[in-house]
Amino acid sequence: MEMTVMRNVTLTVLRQVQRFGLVSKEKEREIAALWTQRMRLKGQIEGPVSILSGGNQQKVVLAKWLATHPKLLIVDEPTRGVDVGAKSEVHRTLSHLAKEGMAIIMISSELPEVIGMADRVLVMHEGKLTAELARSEVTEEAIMFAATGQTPSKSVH
Amino acid sequence: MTEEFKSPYDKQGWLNVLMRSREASLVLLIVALTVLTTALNPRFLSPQSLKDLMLNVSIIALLVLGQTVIILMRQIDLSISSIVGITAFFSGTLFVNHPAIPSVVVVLLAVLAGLLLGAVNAALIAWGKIPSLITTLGTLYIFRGANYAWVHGRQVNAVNVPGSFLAIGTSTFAGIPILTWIVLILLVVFSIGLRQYRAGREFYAIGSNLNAAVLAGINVSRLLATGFIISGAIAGLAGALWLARFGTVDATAAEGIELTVITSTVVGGVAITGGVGTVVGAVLGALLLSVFSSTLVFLRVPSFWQQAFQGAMLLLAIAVDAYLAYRHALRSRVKWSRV
Repeated sequence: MEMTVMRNVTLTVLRQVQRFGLVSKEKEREIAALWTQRMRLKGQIEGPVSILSGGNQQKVVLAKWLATHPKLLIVDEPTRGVDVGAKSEVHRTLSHLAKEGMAIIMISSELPEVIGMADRVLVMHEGKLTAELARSEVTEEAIMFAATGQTPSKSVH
Repeated sequence: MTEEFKSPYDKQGWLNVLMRSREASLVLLIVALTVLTTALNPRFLSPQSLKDLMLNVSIIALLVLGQTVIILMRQIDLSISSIVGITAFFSGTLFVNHPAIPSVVVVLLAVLAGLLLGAVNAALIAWGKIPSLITTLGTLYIFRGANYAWVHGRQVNAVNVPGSFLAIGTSTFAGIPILTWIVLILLVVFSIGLRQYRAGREFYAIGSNLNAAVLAGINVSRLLATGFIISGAIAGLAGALWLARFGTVDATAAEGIELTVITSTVVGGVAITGGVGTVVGAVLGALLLSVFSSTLVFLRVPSFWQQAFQGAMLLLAIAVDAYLAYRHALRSRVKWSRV
């Protein structure tokens, strides 16, 4: 938390910014600038992350992992504790990434977020997978039934 | 559109920047103390007293370098005093048994010995997963006990040590003692290493947030081990230099120095919780404590107050840190409410 935004973002890709163990400042700045811009991160990259708002801190974390160019990104409660404005920005970014071809597994306990974002919803209850719903089948009741361990009644609509 | 929101950093005047820079405030304090003491007793700035000051600081500053790496990782190394004690006696014994041995070889062997002792810590902490506080507390006593057993009441005297080696501890180059030059060069090496090298970054990361570091793919065990081996090697070097400086070494050499080293490091801005601080700051912390001790001597303060003052200095440093962090958090929260 005490590190700068720049250092945080490049922490995961230190191997790429280094040569013989020495970190190249230009490369570091380049990568940090690129990803903070993509995430629409406000504030200087040279400042410490501790002064950023929760939403912006979350963006730094996302930027940190996106910098590794993953094929699969797993996010666990990506917008918990994040203010509404930043929430929608995080969602927008995730959708955009999915559109570009990145596979994303989002773990969330917020129904609106799940319903709004997912192409496919997997529901778990007590450690077991209880439902796999395609976008067209997704309703609040269907999810809640599966989450509480019951099966959705198909006749109720 | 991305608006470039100016972070609170831009709006600060130079005074605030100064206050936020631990290194700068340390320099200020040192200068202030020096001015104060010289005003009360002009002999403070005489070449002899300055040389004494530099010699006194040097060995502690050297140990501070190693300890900084450790504390940055949120660990602690209490065993350094025992390692210094053993390697000091070891160096002396080498000279006693092999009078013709070159000084360089002795220094290298001392570093190697320290390295091996540090490796014991490394093994227990990195692989045994025993907390460093417990481990190094244990090795502090084990190594010292072994030292007592080995020394067996004897001591190495200055007559046993070749003049050329003792000269390292007393002669100067361009007005600065050789001992201090050695420490200054290592300071530069460590400073660059911690700031510009990947491993240096990773030390900070481990101390700042261990889980995040693990998730980011950092090899924590390897870095922990490396840190303690470095600390041991530094202590080994300090042992050889101890012999050069004092000439006489018995079983109690360097006893208790670990507390001064840790106090200096924390006063120098290296937070005990890890992840924050620089070696430059830490060495300045050591200098501050030394200057402060000298000041007390020059002001004829009874020497048993020295320890009390050192402790007070440490608590003051931590209190100032806490207060500044609180103010900083307050300020940032207020600014962000407008966003």
